[in-house]
Amino acid sequence: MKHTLKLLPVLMATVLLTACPSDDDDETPPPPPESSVDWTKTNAWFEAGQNTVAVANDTEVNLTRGSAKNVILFVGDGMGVSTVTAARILAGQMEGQTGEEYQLSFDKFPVAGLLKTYNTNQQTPDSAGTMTAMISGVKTKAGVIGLSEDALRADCASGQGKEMITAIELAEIAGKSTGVISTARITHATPAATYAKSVERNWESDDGLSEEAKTNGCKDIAQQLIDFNYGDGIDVVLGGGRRHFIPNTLTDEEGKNGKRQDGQNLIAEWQNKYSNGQYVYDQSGFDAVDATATNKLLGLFNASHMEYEADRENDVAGEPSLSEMTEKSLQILSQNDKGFFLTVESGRVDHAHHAGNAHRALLDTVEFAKAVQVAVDSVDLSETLIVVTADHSHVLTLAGYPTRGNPILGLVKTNDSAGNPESEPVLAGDDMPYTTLGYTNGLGYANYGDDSVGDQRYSEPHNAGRHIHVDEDTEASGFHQETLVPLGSETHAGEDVGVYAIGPGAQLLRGVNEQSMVFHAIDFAADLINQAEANAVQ
Amino acid sequence: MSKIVANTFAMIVGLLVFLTPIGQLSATPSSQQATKVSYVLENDGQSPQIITIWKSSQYLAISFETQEVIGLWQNWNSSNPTFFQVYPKDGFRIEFSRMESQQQANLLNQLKKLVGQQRLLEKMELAGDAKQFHLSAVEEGAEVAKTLDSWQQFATYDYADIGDNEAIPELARLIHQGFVPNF
Repeated sequence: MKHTLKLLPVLMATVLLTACPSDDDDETPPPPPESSVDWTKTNAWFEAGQNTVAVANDTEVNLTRGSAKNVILFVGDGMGVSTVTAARILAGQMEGQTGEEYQLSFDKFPVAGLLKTYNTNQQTPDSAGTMTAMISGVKTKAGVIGLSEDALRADCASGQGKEMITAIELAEIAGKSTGVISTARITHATPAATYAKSVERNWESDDGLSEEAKTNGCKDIAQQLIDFNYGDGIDVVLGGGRRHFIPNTLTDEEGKNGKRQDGQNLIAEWQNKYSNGQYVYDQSGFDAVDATATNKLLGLFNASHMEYEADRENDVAGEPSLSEMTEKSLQILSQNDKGFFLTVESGRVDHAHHAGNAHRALLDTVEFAKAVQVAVDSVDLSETLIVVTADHSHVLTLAGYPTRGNPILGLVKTNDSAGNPESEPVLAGDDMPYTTLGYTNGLGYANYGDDSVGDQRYSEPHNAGRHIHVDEDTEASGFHQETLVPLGSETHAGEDVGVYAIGPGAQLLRGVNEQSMVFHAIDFAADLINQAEANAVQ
Repeated sequence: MSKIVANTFAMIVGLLVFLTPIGQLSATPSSQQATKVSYVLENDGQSPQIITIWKSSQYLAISFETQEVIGLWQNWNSSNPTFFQVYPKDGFRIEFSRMESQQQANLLNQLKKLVGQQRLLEKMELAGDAKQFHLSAVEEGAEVAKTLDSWQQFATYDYADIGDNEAIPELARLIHQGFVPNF
């Protein structure tokens, strides 16, 4: 393995200095990317992950390097174990069951484990550091994307020479097709970690760059996505964040202004770069894409994040669901005989939790599980590794002793002394009812009923403590759970997250692992580094 | 066709593709024609307070005498305006991405009645309320436009992103300062 790692600088230099391997012979090879990458600088985290895989390879049966032609990595942003449990119960109850016995799509996977999510500088992590761990195999600092922990946040110069390669980049060099999907902005931390290197997650377009960043030549994240030149470029990109690709002098199709101050229209640049590619911005355009005749697809469906699943039907121009985007992407990517690598993020579970709104967080999680099922139904599991996990957790809890089948978003009704359900909500020591779901911190209680809009809670001050009435509709989309510690936004949580896997190499994710192990399991299963080397040398 | 001609043709086509606005994207008008207006708000039983309103073809903004935060709508006269809270002292903007509460919608409608027409109202009474607005000062010109434009250069965050930016202390502090009140 050390031999492989030492070959990588040579490999990368070869790739950067020669025409990029491409399956699209009719396209002009793009210019090589500028890079100061020295892959040998990667680091104790990387080597530890490779060693763990090597040990497993000696003890596990039926474990064969390179047996996964395809890889799909699903990330539920902020989808901690309590969120999975609550979403499972809600999904079951939405189908008329009691709920607890229900199985989400990935509950049925044969392998499950836990991931330790901490960043190198934070006990409770953020998405930038955690996704970097999963996609590059190296833990790093909070707020930092695609760079090792030696980089300082928001200090451009400190990150130069600290760039890490990602599984998406390796897959492209190996000749596979690749895709990145997110319901958040496609320049947001989690999707950005698949293709960008940035010391600051907020540098999504040039308006966010500091003077030091501009002086030292750091590029914004949207620019890096368009400039991505490994292999034949990322084949499918679907998400939100249109504003970071267009000038602030332009108003988009939904009446929102761009952010770019450099006057560039990166969507037009992408269309110029991929003359056979298709750009779509709404549901009808997305539906019209013929997957069998498309090998490059860019979809930017919202100026900022895409809608919560609960609000999707209210979108101005219309947006596809996460499962629809997953299905279309797999149809496009699976046309490559060398296989594909797809990353799918449900980005707004996290945002709903930050607002203290479990209803929207759980509905997005249920849709996420549907997208996983779409993948299971679309691929050959004998040659496809599917990994489902979260980047971090949130401070959501399931508490009290609700009776079996109690509405998961409802007030707690317990059992009587004989074990039968009570008819009325139980009262706490303050003679007030309480919900099963609650948050340890955040903005706290509010109830806007079913006519609410997402993130509405931020328009009012925090309101910690006890406020719920016995006759309150706590299942409404606009109900925000009570909290203990008043904060302007509910926070991430630091406990382990679940990882669920099926397909070749899945067993590598059994047990309790560092989060960076996700990359190393994927690398082993798909043999990404070796295939990238082989393809680059050809 | 010679190679040079073909390459030149390809460059021109590429340049045209680059320069042509795609789909239904449209250019945003300049904010050079800008007005700053002050009104005295008399509310029954309360001390009069001054509200300040900035208006251009693209932006409509309001600040209350007692608050540091400014409420600002971009594309205010469209069917889908974007609301920002602007904190000029700290150099931040917070964007309500496509999210607008009923309270903000009501405030925008009231402002449109007050200053949304070609001619500013000198006096307005809110129906069913004992509230009166009296025009007290008007300023027009480049300085007003400059102020509006300066706010567009501020670092901007979505409300949805605040929870992921707790490392920025100014942002965390701003969240606790409340929001733009109604009339």
